[in-house]
Amino acid sequence: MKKAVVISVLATAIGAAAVTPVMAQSAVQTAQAVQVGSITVSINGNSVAIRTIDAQGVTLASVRDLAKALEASLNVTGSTITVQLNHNVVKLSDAVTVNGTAFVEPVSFLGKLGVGYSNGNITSVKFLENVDQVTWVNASKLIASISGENGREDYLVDAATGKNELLLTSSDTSELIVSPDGSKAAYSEEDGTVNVIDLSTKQSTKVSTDTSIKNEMVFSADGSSIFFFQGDKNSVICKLSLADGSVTKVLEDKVDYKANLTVSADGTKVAYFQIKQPVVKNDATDVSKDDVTIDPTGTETQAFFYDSAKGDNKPVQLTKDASDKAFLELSADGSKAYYVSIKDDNTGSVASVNTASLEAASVYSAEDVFQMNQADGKLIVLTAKGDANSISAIDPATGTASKLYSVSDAVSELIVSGKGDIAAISNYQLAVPVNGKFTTITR
Amino acid sequence: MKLKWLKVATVAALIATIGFGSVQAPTKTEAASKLSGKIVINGSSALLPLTLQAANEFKKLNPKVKISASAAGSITGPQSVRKGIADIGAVDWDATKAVPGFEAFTGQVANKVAVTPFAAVVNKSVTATNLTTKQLQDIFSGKVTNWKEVGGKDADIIVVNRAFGSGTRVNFQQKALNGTDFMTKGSNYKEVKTSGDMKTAVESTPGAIGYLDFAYITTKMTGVSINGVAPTVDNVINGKYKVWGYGYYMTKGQPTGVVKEFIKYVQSAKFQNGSLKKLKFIPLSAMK
Repeated sequence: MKKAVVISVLATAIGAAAVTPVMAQSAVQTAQAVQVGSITVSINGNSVAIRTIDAQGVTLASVRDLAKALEASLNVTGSTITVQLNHNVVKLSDAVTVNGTAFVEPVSFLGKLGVGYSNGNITSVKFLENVDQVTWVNASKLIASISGENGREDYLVDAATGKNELLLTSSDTSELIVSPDGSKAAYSEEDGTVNVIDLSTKQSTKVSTDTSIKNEMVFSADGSSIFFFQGDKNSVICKLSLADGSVTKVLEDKVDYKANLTVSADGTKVAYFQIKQPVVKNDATDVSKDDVTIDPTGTETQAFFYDSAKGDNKPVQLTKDASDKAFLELSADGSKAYYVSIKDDNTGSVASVNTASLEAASVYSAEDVFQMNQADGKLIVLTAKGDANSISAIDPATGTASKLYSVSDAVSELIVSGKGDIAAISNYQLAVPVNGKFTTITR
Repeated sequence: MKLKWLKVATVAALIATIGFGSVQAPTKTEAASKLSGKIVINGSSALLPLTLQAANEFKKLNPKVKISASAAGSITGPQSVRKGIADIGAVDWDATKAVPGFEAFTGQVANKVAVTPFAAVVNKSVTATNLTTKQLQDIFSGKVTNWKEVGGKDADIIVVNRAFGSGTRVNFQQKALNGTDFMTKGSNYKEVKTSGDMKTAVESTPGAIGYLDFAYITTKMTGVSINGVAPTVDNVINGKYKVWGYGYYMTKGQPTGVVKEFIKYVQSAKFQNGSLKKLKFIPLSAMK
């Protein structure tokens, strides 16, 4: 109760009739009413009126007004007011209430919320909410996207602070892909044409008028072209030159439903998964008999490789085993393909195949692998062992894993740049390492 | 190259264990990537490209979920669910209700996933690309057999029809032909089992007319305007073009577990306004 007593003294000092500290609502009852005034401050450039009271020359500001203006969350539980803005949480048990409105000394309060206050100007970073797609631009910036019924907004986000600026608003476009050097982003329009945004000037330029459907667009290592699956059934692998907008076919083997396109650094070799459909037999003459069968024999996902220098449109099948497969990555020189192999017991491990000899090898199986990305010659994996989840870097030559971070079970996805920058989605929020500690930068 | 990794390794050495302490209390007890299980999907060939694209994207987020998708016509979707050999039956009509030729499937739930626009399509050799409803009825019933009778060149009409059980056929018959019957045999009649087979037949057969959902229409064929209204997404949304239907994922009762999560993904704004649109389907929200 010590705190309550101190607050009672303060309340008495400012002579408030209906002034009560939150923790001692009934402790103070005096005869005179406190004058509730108002000041106008600028919050993120908007003029906002904030209710105030004067406590012996010290201006106290309404907690609710400040929280509302900052779009911070405010919860009252018993005698404690909790205000949260982004990842800063302030618990108030010493606020002064006047007629049910809580007031605090604002400069200290705003400081704890991570908000800047100077000469009546309050600036805060409003975190993005509900991002559903994230990609790295460079070591200090990401692009985070928010999809809604009316389309998508793409934002450039500062990795250290979460400060963000709108980059693109669109309604019929593919997700943005970023060139390896972070200088540009590309997307396809509803009609299949492709635009490139210069990320320094934010200017968008149409680079191709080809109207074919383009899926899984991937920048070449030098950023001069974009590889993609063409058509609604991902049948053909094509290459779009950004210099002249021309589209050339890399592989046309007349086999539908390819997935997970990955390209060697020189752009001459590609690998992908082939998705086969089970054979269905039915006799629809008497529907009530349900005379239908589904035979999945031989439809396991398999990895394929193609060296475009051969020009024969005959890809090489890299794998033949029955495991499920995900996260295919072709090494920079195209000599190895890495993927996560998922056995029937649902454990994931990293496997490799030599694209020339077709020799298969186990790369890493010490922990259950949930995700794998290739970055700067290493394989970044999200793994689980018992209740402990980790992010590790695997040397693909030796299979040696170096643990980078131990992370919460809530981490569901890694976002890894080609240079090894790592971000994570945890509880649907984007988190990045800031000074060595994962910190959320979206809500 | 080594230096970059040394930097990361140094950070790692400093941090033995980092939790996400500053994150709010979890709203889910389990991370999405920890979902595991198998989903078997069968049914509509019109919906297959959409299903497989969604499966690719869902698997990147949930690698431990194995998804198998096949197509042999809409009717096999709810049949497979009723028989217990599929978790999701992809179908081009609400199979909880009877449609001409098919009784209702009881005990199943119709989960709406897409708006599927359909079009009559003709081989590139055909010049009559604007037909009335009556002309379409006469062509598909076999009363009119030469393109010159409907304003085209003197050439035989080859009718390509989907086999009984196709949801595209159900929609086309109901909405483009106003329920009139198809011809069923003859030298100028061909029947195919899937949308892929229909696409190939119309592309490769001079004088052919068939019907497809927009996703399958290629530059090697022409979409036919009906009563002067072109088959476009805009005309579907603005109500001028009537030949469209909802695509459904049928489940035995309300979906649960990984099946529920997959359907939620297909219904998400990200997928609906992204890949679904790119594949020439129309988001559910556009028809509200």
